[in-house]
Amino acid sequence: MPDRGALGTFAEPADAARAVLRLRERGHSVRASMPAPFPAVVAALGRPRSPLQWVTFPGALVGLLGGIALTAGTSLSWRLVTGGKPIVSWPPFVIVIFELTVLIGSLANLAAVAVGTFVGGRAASFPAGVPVDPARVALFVVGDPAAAEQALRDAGAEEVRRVG
Amino acid sequence: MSNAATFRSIEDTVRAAHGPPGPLYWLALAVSGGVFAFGAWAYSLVVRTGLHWTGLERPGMWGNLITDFVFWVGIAHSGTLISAILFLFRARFRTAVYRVAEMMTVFAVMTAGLYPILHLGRPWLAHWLLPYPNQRELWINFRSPLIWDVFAISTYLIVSTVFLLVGVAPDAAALRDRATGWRRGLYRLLAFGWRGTDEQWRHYTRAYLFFAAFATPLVVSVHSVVSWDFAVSVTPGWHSTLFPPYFVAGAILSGVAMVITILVPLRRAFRLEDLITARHLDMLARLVIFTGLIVTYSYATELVLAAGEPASDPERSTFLYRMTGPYAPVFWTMVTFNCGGPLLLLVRKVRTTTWSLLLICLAINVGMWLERFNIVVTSLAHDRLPFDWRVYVPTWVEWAMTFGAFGWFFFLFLVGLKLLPPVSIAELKEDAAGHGAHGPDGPAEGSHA
Amino acid sequence: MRDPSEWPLGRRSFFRIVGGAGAAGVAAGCSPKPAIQRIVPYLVPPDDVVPGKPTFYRTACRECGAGCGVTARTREGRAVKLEGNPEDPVGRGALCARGQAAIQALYHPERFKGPLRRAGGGPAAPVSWEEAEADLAKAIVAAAAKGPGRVRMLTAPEPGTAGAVQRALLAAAGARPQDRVVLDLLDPGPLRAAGAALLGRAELPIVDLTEARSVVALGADFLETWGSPVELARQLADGRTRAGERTRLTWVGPRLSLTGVSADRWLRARSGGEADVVLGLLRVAADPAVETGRSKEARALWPRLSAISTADLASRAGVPWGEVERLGRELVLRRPSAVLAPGPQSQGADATRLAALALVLNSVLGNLGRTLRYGQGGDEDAPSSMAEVRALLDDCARGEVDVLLVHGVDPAGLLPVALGAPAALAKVPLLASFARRPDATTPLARLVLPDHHPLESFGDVAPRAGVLNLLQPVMTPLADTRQAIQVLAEVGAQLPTPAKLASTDPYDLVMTRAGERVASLRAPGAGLPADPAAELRAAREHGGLWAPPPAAVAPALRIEAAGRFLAPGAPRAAEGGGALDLVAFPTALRGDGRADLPWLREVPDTLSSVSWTAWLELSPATAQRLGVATGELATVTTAAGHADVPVYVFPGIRDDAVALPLGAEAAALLPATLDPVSGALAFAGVRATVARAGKRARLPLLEGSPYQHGRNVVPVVTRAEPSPPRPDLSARMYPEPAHPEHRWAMAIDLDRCTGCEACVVACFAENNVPVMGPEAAEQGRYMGWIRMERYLGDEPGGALDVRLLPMLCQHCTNAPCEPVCPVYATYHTPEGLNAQIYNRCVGTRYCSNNCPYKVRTFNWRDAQFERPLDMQLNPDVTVRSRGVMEKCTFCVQRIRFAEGRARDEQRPVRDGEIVPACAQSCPAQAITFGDANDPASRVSQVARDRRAFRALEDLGTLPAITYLARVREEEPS
Repeated sequence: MPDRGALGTFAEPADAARAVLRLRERGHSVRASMPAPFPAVVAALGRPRSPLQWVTFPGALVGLLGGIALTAGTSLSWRLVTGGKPIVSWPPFVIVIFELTVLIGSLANLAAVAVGTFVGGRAASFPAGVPVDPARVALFVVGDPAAAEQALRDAGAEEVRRVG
Repeated sequence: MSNAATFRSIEDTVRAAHGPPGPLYWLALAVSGGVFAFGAWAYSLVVRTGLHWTGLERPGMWGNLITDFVFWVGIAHSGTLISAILFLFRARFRTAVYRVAEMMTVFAVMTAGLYPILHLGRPWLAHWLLPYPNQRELWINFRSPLIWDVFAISTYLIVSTVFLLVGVAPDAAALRDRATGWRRGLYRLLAFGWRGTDEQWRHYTRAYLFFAAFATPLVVSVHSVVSWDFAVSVTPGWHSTLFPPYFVAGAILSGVAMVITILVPLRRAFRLEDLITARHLDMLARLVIFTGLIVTYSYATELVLAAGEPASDPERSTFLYRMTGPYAPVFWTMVTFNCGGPLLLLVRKVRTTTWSLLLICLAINVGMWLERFNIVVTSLAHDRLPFDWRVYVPTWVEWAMTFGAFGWFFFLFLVGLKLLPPVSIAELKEDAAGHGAHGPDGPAEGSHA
Repeated sequence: MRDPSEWPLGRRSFFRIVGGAGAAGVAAGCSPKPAIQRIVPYLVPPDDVVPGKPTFYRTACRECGAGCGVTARTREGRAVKLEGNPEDPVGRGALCARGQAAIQALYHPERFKGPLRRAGGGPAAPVSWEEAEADLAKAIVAAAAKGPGRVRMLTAPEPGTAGAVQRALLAAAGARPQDRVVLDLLDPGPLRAAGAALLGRAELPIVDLTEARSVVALGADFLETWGSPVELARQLADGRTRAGERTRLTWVGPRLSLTGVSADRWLRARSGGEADVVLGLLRVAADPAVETGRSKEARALWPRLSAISTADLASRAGVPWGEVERLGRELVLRRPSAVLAPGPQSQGADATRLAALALVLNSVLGNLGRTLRYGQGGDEDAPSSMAEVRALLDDCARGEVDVLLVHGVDPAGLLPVALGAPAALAKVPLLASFARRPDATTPLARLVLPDHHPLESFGDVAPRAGVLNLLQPVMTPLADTRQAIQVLAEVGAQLPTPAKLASTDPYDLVMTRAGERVASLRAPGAGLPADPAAELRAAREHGGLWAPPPAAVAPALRIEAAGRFLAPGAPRAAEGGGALDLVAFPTALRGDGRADLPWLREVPDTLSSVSWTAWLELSPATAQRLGVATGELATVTTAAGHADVPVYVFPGIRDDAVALPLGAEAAALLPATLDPVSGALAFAGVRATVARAGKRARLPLLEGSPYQHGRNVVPVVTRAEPSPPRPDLSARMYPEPAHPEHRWAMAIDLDRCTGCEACVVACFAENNVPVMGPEAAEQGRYMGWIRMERYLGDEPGGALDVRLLPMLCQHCTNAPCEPVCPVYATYHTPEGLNAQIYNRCVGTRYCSNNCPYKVRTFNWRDAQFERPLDMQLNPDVTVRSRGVMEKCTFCVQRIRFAEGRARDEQRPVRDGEIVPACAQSCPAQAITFGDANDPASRVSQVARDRRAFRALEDLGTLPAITYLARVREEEPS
């Protein structure tokens, strides 16, 4: 969808932040690309918080249950007494279970962010094929290129280019 | 100067660090590679005809190799601590140093992980320590601290590697566009399609927070587990409830000391002085003081508790043996370096003078290795039945393997420096911007630092 | 059907090959004729060679004069282990360390493969037996023609057919009786001489301690080498645990021997002072003030004795008079007793005087005929005196001997260098050695005629009246050796006047002789056997012919003869430049010094914990004075020569003495001094100077610290405190694991244990424990599954307080080694064993670190079993590979064997049916094994003893091994 519009770059994150606010007041939908998540810009864009935890938390849970199953299950499958300890000795098992929780949780988190990054990198979220200077903040205003260009210039963008 | 210019200069500095290496670099690479090769050859002797090459004997079945294991796990602790815990505490000074620290962590774990395998009587069967269905229908004994090690160390290796690479992605993207040749390919890979869109940052910042949240308890758990290798035994000198906090503190002490030991020459060699500033080193030095005091306290506690026992008590006997026996030099060097060093750093002048800081940190590295040797060896050499007491002395083969590990570690590290950005570009940019005009409202949730 | 011998290699011929014993045994327990010339394939595979099943043959031990019976376990036709013969009255099923190690002589890699002949000075070349025997015969004929004394023989004692054959041959060669010299370095000849002088009986009394209430050993280490150690150890132990009164043992001498460790009291008499101690005891015993109802001997001797000044005696003996007097009074009160002397450590130039005084004392105390039994000694083939040996060597040196037959001894290697044996023997034109493997004498031999090993031979040994133990081959010979008596018989047959022998076949020779003795060996009044042949077959199956010994006689003491021994000894020689008394002692492992078998060298000496090498014992004070420490090399110099020996600082020796075990070093130092009366070699009374050589020696030492450091690891009990302290273990975190059927357990009575190391060697033999060599021993890589933990006291410099603790896997119920193993290589079996599964082990070695008893040994490298020593390996036990942990299994293979048999017979396992190797071999029967689940089992009963304690019990490991504390006797005040 964001194939038509205009791209403007800002040297100062602060300017970019102000520009975003203005553009959004005017009812433009704005997309940004920046070398770092400048708090001001992020705040101005006002995107909702990422729902990553809905993948990470279940992942950790799987690790926890898997750990319990592995430790207790394998111990019970062949009951070997060692040092007069119970077959299912929870205190030591907890350690292994914890490590598995962390491991699977982190891997789930990784998978989630990988997907997120992939999705966020598609043209859908920012026009493809336009070179972005990693030293500058780039704003993309969706809509009729001419209008968008005008809006960006008003917002004080340094370089503006039409897209589409 | 405009932020854009600042950002550009940051990138340039990093790119400069990735420039064609000088003769000094090649020399360092050759030396560390050579030392590693020699250690590997020494180990091949052990594989061929057995552990009789070592100085081990009853009762001392563990020696240098386990000492090395604990030492390197300790070194591995600084990285995740600095990047994860300090991240959660919003400690700004981490920004400049955490990349190096994380690289150190990953390579140190890769080193530490070798030893439990190297010291096995039958290393070719090391995979039996992993849980997998097999024709023997035999699983692993989850009651064994060594199994806890397997899980803790491998988890730690994976998580800290992920943590490192995730952190690298945006920087790789930044370098990608102006890189050429194979580097371009490498950074494209590491960047994982990073374009810095708000959509990506939205997920990224959140994920980074979770990683930090996972890594923080992990750091604490890993060295606690290592300490349990000893604490759950009945051997006097090992069997102590104090061990987990004592080991974690010791690990962080040695780790941070190692970070400083590496940063000081690094920022000189790679011209990173204006990114990694004296202030950063100072903050790290304070961390050394803090953990050093905890370690000192632990030493004192152990001794006081042991001294309180009756004369016939093996614990007491073991501690007296450490202080007065054939290993006394080890003990006193350890105390001098690990307790005296950090205390010296309390003096601002000493802390801020680069060479004295470096010297003290080197001493602490040595002291911490000796501490592990002291714990592992003296306890075994002086156990419950006096008739079996025996003094263990490492052989040249064991020393070769010990130093081989340093070779292996620095070799990896030197290569890593040339491939990965030694500092976090994105975060430095953010900081730089942060110093400039602020947005309408303060830093939003999920942003860095 | 085709002749089986034409079949291609089939199953039966395969068995024939794998099981060397081609025709092994026709009927169970019987044995093959030796030296099979033509191998005949099995027409029917013998019933007693079932692959996988052991076959047992009864034979006898020839390692020392005791002549214990032996049960040899064979598998697939090869001997794998030697154990005692339970029916034999001497050993009663036990066998000492040296006896068990004999099997390694059988499989010794250096054994001669066949007869050798050395032409001129050239190298020895193989030769056929026929040629060799013809040569020997020819030489004997030629020599005999020159007159008597040209043909001589030097042999080990052969109380049996072998001796008879030797005598017969020499007789046929026209030799006089004295031309056959019998050499036994450790023979207490002076006692024989004293017997002749005082009792008119030149024989050794048979010592029987079963009744003895008090035993005094003056240098007679009867728990190691003196007399019949296995038997005496058992008798002492029985006396120790006898209900009511406990036998009290006193050791007298300058050095604490292993026998001294078992003793309740040690009189630190100076070397050579023993005789004065006995004289003092005699004086007390004969004193009317001490005892009114004195024997007539006492009354007769008192005038002479009363004249002796006790002060002089005490000063010459080097012990306070009070101690002597107290011991004397004790002997008077506690009758019967036994006063045993001399042994190598007390055998000086006046050894006969010491022996005589001991005899007088024994007779005064009425011990003759009770504890010292005369008229029962077989004393067949009594050893010659060293004087006769020296005479023989002198004749050789003078070239008056043309043919010398050397059998069973190594004069060039064993005798004191001062006797100049090698030079003398070199002068003999034809020296024929029957040695089985190279020794110091064989290079001088023109003919080497390798003898069979006793385990390959027929034979018999009569250690005493009423006992005839039979030897029979347990396997076919490994090489082209030939039994010495066969060679002698065949040579004898070639002489102009053939030797008077029934046959040249050892089997016939032995059986004929045994047949002649059947009658004499029957219970008095039983008359002639109905069927002598059947009786003989039975004898072969059971391992011997045994009859109640004839009644002991109590010979009367010739008072007048005793008189001349009562004079106080010569005043001590002037101290020369800090010279020390040299004490040369035999040990249970090294015997008279020829410790050349791997097990005997690998197993550390109990007292010094040294293995592989000789050591020099110095008291801490002396060591400090000389500036030497343990592990340093010291140079010992005597009139005879000097030797460099590594020092071991040992509080159990007088400051004016220095001690070293018999062996090459001792041989270099001992002068050729003889006791003029008995002609015995004077081991004692030698003065030596010690100087530091300034070099560190490689001294394989097992001990870390010899002190208990206040930990009271090995408690003792006294009359005041009859039980050792036990911790309160009522608090438990987890319930004890269930042992539904059995809970195997062991009990070790430290009051019986003498530290003789027999159990250790038995364990090496049974469990294929590898011998790793001196370097490994130095690094503390001793592989033994049992070790003798020996503590010398509580703190360095403290009082000497020797305590022994045989340490092996405790098979804990809560074993610390188990939970730390990541791969379940060790775990707790339902029968209570702490199992070690070698092929699961990856070698983390954590189990050993966490074992409080440090009883796990690690294979640092692959063990070497040099061919054919590997033929001894027990097929029932894995040979462990490099990189795995191993330890005591309670001989699980024996447990399984018994359980399997019980299952086959549909019955529960009987108590005492399972006997681990260590328990089986123990001469003192200190080890009990059984099922702790069964409260009636012996082990359960023993474990309930009030002396019971467990090692490091406060750790809560709940060991399966219960120790019974040694009893410490308070001195009667």
